[in-house]
Amino acid sequence: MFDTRYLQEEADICIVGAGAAGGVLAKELAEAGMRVVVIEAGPFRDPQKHFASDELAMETLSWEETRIVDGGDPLRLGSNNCGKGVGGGTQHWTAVCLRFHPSDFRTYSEDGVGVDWPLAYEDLEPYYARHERELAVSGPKHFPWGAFHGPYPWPERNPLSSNAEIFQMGCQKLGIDWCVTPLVILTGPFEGRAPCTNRGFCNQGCMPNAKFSTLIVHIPKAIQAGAVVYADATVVEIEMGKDGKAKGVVFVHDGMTYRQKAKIVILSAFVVENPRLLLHSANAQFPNGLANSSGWVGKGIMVHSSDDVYAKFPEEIRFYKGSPVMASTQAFYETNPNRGFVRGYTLHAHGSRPMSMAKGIATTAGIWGRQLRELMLNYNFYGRVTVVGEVLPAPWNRVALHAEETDAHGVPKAHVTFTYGDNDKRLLEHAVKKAEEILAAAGGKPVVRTHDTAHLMGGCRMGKDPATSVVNRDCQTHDIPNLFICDASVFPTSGGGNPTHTVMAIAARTADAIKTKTVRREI
Amino acid sequence: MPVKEGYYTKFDVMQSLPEWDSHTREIVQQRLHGSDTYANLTIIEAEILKSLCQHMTGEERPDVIQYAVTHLDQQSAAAKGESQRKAGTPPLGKLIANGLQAFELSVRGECIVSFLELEAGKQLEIVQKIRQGHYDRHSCWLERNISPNVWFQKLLGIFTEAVYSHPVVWSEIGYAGPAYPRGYVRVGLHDIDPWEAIMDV
Repeated sequence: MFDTRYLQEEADICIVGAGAAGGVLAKELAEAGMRVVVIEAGPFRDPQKHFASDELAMETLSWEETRIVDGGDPLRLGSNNCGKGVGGGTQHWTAVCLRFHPSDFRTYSEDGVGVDWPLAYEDLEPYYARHERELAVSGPKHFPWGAFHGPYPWPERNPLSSNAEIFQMGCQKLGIDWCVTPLVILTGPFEGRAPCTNRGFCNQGCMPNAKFSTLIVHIPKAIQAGAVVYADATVVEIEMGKDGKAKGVVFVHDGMTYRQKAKIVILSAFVVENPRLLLHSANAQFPNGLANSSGWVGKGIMVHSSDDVYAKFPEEIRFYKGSPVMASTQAFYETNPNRGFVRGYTLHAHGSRPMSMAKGIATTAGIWGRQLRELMLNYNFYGRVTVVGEVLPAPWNRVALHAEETDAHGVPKAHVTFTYGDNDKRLLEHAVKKAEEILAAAGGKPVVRTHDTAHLMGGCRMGKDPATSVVNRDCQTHDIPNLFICDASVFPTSGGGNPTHTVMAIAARTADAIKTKTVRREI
Repeated sequence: MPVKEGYYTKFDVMQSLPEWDSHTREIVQQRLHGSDTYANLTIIEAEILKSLCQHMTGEERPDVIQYAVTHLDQQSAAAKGESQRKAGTPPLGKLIANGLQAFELSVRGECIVSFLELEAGKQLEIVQKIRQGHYDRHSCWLERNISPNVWFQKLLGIFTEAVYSHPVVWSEIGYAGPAYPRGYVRVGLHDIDPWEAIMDV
């Protein structure tokens, strides 16, 4: 049974979702003395007991409930983006900790595409820097791209994995800048945690606790400061008062329905579940869903294109060892008019375990049967580069409520529609070609390309204009003053690099805004 | 013609079992003792699926195939969800079962006998035809609202994830696998820890 301390009273803050954003918000607001309740649909795991060194078994870290996918490029959901359980997606991420570039916040002004953020890089810079220090981010002394050039607070990973060495060799031959990837993975003892053992299972949950997650860092600190976490509790509705303010949420735990009242409700339940909850909570005052006067709730979702290129080498690489990502380049991040597309991408050396390699090849590259087995017999001879490519926002890429199917709680399932735009496709083809060139320069023969996406963003975008956005720069909904949305769903554009560092920076900034507004009695 | 052997015929990843944490040990050991009882499948359906698994994954070892079919049965019986399902596609359990019916009807319509009664070469030819869209407009599939290719892809994905989660296959491809708590010490190019696979000379 969960701690019911706040169930009978009104909490100051109710956060839905304990992932990258929810964890940061819970810690910051609880440490500010607020009475915080976090409601998380999945379990509260102990990494040493509940994680395992096994790809298949650890699929349970992801959101496995069925979403209906549609469009020209239906998304793969679950293990490659959305987590379930305290820690959310930070349980099964690669811990790549990249800042966005200043241009990411101004794509319309600079390139005439997407939309400008109501925030500038400078608004998030102090939060990026703070997290890098507080979480012991390891990275290079000099980071060649963007506005921040290092040094990172903790030394970069050493030794590199063999797959990262291959990447480094390929880049150097081609004259492409590369660097050791900034990671929230310990390179030395920190806060009672030991450094990485190169086990390689970052995507399956870090058992040694060397990799940062909100499960092991922010949530315990939030609880220490007085926050209460309801795990295995699924929020099914946001309750509204007649005054047009949120009253709290309705949630289901172990078959029973409960209500949690709160002065402020924050949705940090991810790109799919935030719009789903807002749309499902429609009432007479908000017939089109909560916070949806603009009609943008659920619209403008983005992924990163994330195709992989596998190259076969004449020697063993053994890319199952070490953190999956240990070397990267952002040499193609900024717009270059000569390339035939705008915006850009990151390339990572990216190791893999057998299951995800075989499944990706079988289901997206059309290789099956004897050919699949013979390819996988060479598993140890493959190197891999993965794309993280910017995808531009489009209103037809969206999350909506499914017209017919409902979940076990009677809430309509999410209907997620996605189709790449022309610029997205041109960008991806360029990125794949560069990945092939890097692997070939290192002595490999590119053999297989698999299709994938990662990092869902958007669906409740932030903006200055309430007519075209859902939340303001503080993640406060334009329509309901005590309802906030704070995670990757507020991204107006996707950037060309891993987004979690930016999610956490926005969450910390939002926590500061809530503290300020509360003191000033503005909420 | 048998599939060629791997490079690591002397390697057995299970020799490292005592070095793994108890949770991982339990999970991996269970795969070696696969059950042959099914929640949803009939014996005949399971036998058809075993043949399909062999053709789809190139895997030939009965124990590995048995595990893959048991895994498929558990997946289709579980209430946990599919992460994503394409619009217009029935839920997994229905997709598998109705697809199997349509498949058998297609085979019987073309070859008179059951898929199981066909010799291996003819079986593979049928599976290739599924993949090539040969049956896409056949009434036995259309009536059940099942796309042969979606059905093929779903089976292939589930079989593949099971096969490449099996320790016998890990050993064959030289994957040293679970590594908690000891981890890996030698991670750079050409560096191999003593407990990793060594290529046959």
